[in-house]
Amino acid sequence: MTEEANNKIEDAVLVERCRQGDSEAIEQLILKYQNHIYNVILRMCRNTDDAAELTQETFVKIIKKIDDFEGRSSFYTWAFRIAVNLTLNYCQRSARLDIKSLDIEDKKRYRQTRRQLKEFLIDESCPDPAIVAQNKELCEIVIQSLMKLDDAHRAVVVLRDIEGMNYARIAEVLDIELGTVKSRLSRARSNLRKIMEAIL
Amino acid sequence: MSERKNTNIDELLNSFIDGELDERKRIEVQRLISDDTQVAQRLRELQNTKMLVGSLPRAEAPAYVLPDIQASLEQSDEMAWSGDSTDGEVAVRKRMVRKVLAAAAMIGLIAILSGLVHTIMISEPDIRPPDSPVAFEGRLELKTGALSTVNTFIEETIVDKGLSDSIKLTSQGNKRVYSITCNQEDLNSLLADLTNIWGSFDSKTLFVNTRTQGERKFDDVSPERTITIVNDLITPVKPVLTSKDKEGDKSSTQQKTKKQVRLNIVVTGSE
Repeated sequence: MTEEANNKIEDAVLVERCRQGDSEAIEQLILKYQNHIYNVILRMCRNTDDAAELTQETFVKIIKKIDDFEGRSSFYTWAFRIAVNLTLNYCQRSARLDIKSLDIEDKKRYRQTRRQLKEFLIDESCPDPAIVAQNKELCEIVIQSLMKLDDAHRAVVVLRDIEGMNYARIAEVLDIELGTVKSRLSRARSNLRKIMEAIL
Repeated sequence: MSERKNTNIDELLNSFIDGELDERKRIEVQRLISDDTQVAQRLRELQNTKMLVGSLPRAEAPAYVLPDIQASLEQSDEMAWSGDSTDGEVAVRKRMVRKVLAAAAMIGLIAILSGLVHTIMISEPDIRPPDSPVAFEGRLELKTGALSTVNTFIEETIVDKGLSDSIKLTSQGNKRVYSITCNQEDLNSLLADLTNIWGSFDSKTLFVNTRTQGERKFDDVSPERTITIVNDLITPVKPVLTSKDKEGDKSSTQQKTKKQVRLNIVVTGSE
């Protein structure tokens, strides 16, 4: 049996126990997915406090609505749909003032890192992810560039490249057609690259 | 290459790097890459972009998220933490109680320490906002007929001043609230810049929270007057004096401008 199938069964059992009011099952379900959900929310909204609050809101909603979960999609997909919807609503509500600061403040600050980013972008061999991950300033530029994407584009990039979902699952989470996922992701990556190039 | 064709190729290349193509299309793309250097270059660009995003470190949910969720569920009296208990639930509940007691003990300790620090450091009558970690807390209510111009100006000023991280923005209908928490110097600088659009406001009212006098209202304020009020209402921290400190009260003034202040600027469109 595949890992995904095992996960599905494990989740189905936990969900059933949650429905019966088993608090340990609720705790297990939260512990199993809280980091995934928090990480996706954080990369969509940037602010750590808001991400923690949205993660909390997501799980409270999940537990309250657990009886409505019909099992047509996997629990993982359903949970992420709630998380992403809450986060997109949050993004619409709050203007993202801090995004603008990228050009003014950070252009000066990250001179050397920008040079590195340029090298990464034109590198003929794919750069080493471990080197990127260790460079905090470079990560900050990538995060800020992500934040400059519009919400729909950012969501699709985060779900694909950070959470590692396949296109079919992204379509389910965002409730859009598979073709829309392809075109949106393509435009999003293209725009993201333009944004990063503009920083250089 | 036409733009449409480029778009199609981009979609194909993205599907290729994401492993979303069937065998036949995958072979087609591989052939395309080996025949066309431009396409090969574009593929590398997209791969590098994907890699940069994928390399971001994974963030973990803060430790307080789980207990907070449990507390929220308890509060809303939902299923698991009410009703019949199993052994597991009792254990979880006991663990929760221990956590709550530990948190309460910690809060108590902090409160006692704060009380001690407060007694030592502050001797003047306190007009700071009640139970607030900031030295000043107030609300500046502005009404304008030129809402979007004013908001654009304020946003640009915030960015120019490098205060973006100190501001939380909420919007509701034709009302926008800029919640600013920063040091006094930064707030003064921001207020001074607002002089340029002060004429656009139909009404300008400042509300200030004080511990001894409750909320105080100042009508038709100017930026200068607002700065003065903020300055007057901040209680300077009285440092523990050493012989060096006794030379003058310069340090007190410096501390004053470095103290954290909070001002909610509420901009409403007047119909």
